Amino acid sequence: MNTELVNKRVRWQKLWCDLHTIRLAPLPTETDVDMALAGLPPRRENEALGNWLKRALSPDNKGLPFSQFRFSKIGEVYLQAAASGDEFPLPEQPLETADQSFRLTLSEHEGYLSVKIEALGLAIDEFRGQYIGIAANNHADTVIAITQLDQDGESTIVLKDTQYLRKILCVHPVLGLIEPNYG
Amino acid sequence: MRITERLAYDVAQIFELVLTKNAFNEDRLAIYLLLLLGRKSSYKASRPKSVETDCDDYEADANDAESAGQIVSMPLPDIKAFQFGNPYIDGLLFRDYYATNGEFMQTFLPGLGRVDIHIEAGLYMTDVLLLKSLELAKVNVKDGKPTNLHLLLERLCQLTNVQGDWQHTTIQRSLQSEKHSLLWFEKVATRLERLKTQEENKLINETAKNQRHLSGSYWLQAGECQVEVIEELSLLNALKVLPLALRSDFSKDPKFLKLLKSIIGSLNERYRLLRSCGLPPEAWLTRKQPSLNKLEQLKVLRDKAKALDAWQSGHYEQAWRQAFAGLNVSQDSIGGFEDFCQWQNSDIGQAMLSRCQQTELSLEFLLENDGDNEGLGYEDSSVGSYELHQALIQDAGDRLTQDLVLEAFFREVLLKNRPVQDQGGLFTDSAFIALVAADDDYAALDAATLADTLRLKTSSLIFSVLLETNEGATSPAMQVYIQHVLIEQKPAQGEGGLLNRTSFKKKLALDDELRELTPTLLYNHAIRHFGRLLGKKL
Repeated sequence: MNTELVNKRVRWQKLWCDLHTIRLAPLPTETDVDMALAGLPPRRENEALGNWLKRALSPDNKGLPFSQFRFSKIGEVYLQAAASGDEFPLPEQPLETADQSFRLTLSEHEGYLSVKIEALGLAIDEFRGQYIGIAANNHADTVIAITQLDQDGESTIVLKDTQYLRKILCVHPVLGLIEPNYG
Repeated sequence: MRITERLAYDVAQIFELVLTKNAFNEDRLAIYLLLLLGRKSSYKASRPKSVETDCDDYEADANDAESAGQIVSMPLPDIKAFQFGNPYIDGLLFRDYYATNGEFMQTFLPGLGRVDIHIEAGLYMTDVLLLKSLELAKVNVKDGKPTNLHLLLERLCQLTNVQGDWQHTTIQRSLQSEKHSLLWFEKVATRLERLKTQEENKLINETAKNQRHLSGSYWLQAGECQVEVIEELSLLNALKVLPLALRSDFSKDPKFLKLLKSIIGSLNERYRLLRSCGLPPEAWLTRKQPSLNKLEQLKVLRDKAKALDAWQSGHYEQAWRQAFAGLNVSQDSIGGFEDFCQWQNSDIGQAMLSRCQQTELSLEFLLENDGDNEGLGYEDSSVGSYELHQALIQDAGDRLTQDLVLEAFFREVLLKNRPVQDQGGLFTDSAFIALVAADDDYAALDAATLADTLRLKTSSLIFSVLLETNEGATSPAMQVYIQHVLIEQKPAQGEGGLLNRTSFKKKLALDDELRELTPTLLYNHAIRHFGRLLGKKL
């Protein structure tokens, strides 16, 4: 084989290796980590990192983590009037749950929806540090996002903007307390 | 770029997310790494559903099969090269035998749907990356330096936002030192002292022991404060003691990145060699024996055995015997074994022999950049990168220049190592977004499918150019088979499988070398042929 052909071959052989080290998916986000932490059995006190992960990733946990969570409704917003047909524009003003214990602020940016959850008044003390889910109704299997509230009772979730999520957020978002059922 | 270098860049970004907070959260770091390393990409989710049928009599042309939309089922050995779309699953963790669906933990994460995380990622993250202590390398002793993890700790302390004299932090040995602390130093000093108590019974290697005897313990000094640091650090221990929060842009610091790359390369070394020898890391990672040197020797021997005809025809024991027999007689032993029988009767010999079957399906020869292959290194070296780009454009011709989206992906991601979907990545570039919008086919795809499509197109392009450089001709049937099964990862058998398509059957019938082969032998033949094209040893 002539030198030119050999060089050409080597150039493209190296490209193959490089192509297969490229990470196409985005890095995990804070929200991904929140959701994963909420979806795995919590780490026990003094449990070594490796032992926790072995337990969390054992085949016994397959398919179970989320289905065994309790979702207890703590607030809801009715917004049917805002939606028309298949269009779900985000409300311009922050929303408050019927009992005024939570405020939801929705915004969109470059293909993502941002949902800021703020506990209000007494709910701050009650729910700070807790995992809160947003769902379409009272059932755990309709939850679209989970986040852990910070010490001020606030958290922001960033989600990929889809019609499905908009429909839930712009019609009747239900907030619930997420409590894992692991023993 | 080596896969461990890629990992270092990604880990650096994750460290920035975790270490720029005021408190270190070990669980969050673990989950970030777990998702990075082990999360199966969702690219394939939009593809047609698997159909587990075996229709030997199925007759259809390619178009029929495509329109039927029923693919993915391969009753051949479970070959799923690159199917997981995560370079760490495909190329780092599992290169000696393929990950199968049974090795994934499936969990439902709200908002994300079902997420599959490879169980091996947990082992890699804990036992390779985070918890393994780095021993003192001889080269560091020669240069009078501590381990690279001590140097990393030193550098990260210099990059903190916390008040104090941290920017002058050093770690070095001293025979006569005692703790001295001020208020701003106390938290770090306490953490390091706690660490010393926790690790005091841990055995350290002889080199470190001798150095400590000669020159004293390590001391972290910042301004007038100082505290003793343990002899061998793990990555997790180094992170746990840091003065947080670090500066918001610390992950771009060249010195930090260089150290992290070197550390990850060192931490990965035993895992890499075990994989290369076909040994399951979960059983062998924490053992002291065989040493790295012995594993390296066994890997070389295994490469020799793999190149023999006996191995290719499935007679692995015979191949190993021949490889041992071919050794230089002046060599005392290889991997600690004097001959084949001694090796065969050992635990490691048994383990290596039992895994030969799986390694026949290895990705190693497709992916691994062993030894002195540093990758293309576009990012680190501007020398020749323009010329290289021009040469590649010339090689590919219209196949690249007529597809502006593919050309941009090729140039920015493959040649310049630009991220794809991350912040500042190609997919957030307004010029690229405009290019995609102007092309109806690309514009209809979501980001994940677009990325996957561009990867597949680039794979096809590389294959197509390599065919032009092929000394021995690749028959039309073999070209179609490689493109369909190895590049596009579509099924060979089952309903819609390539072997059931009339057009392919016609090509196969004209091919004297291939037409009598069973599906498994045809696959093995194709992967060897493709391996030769890629210049990798089987």
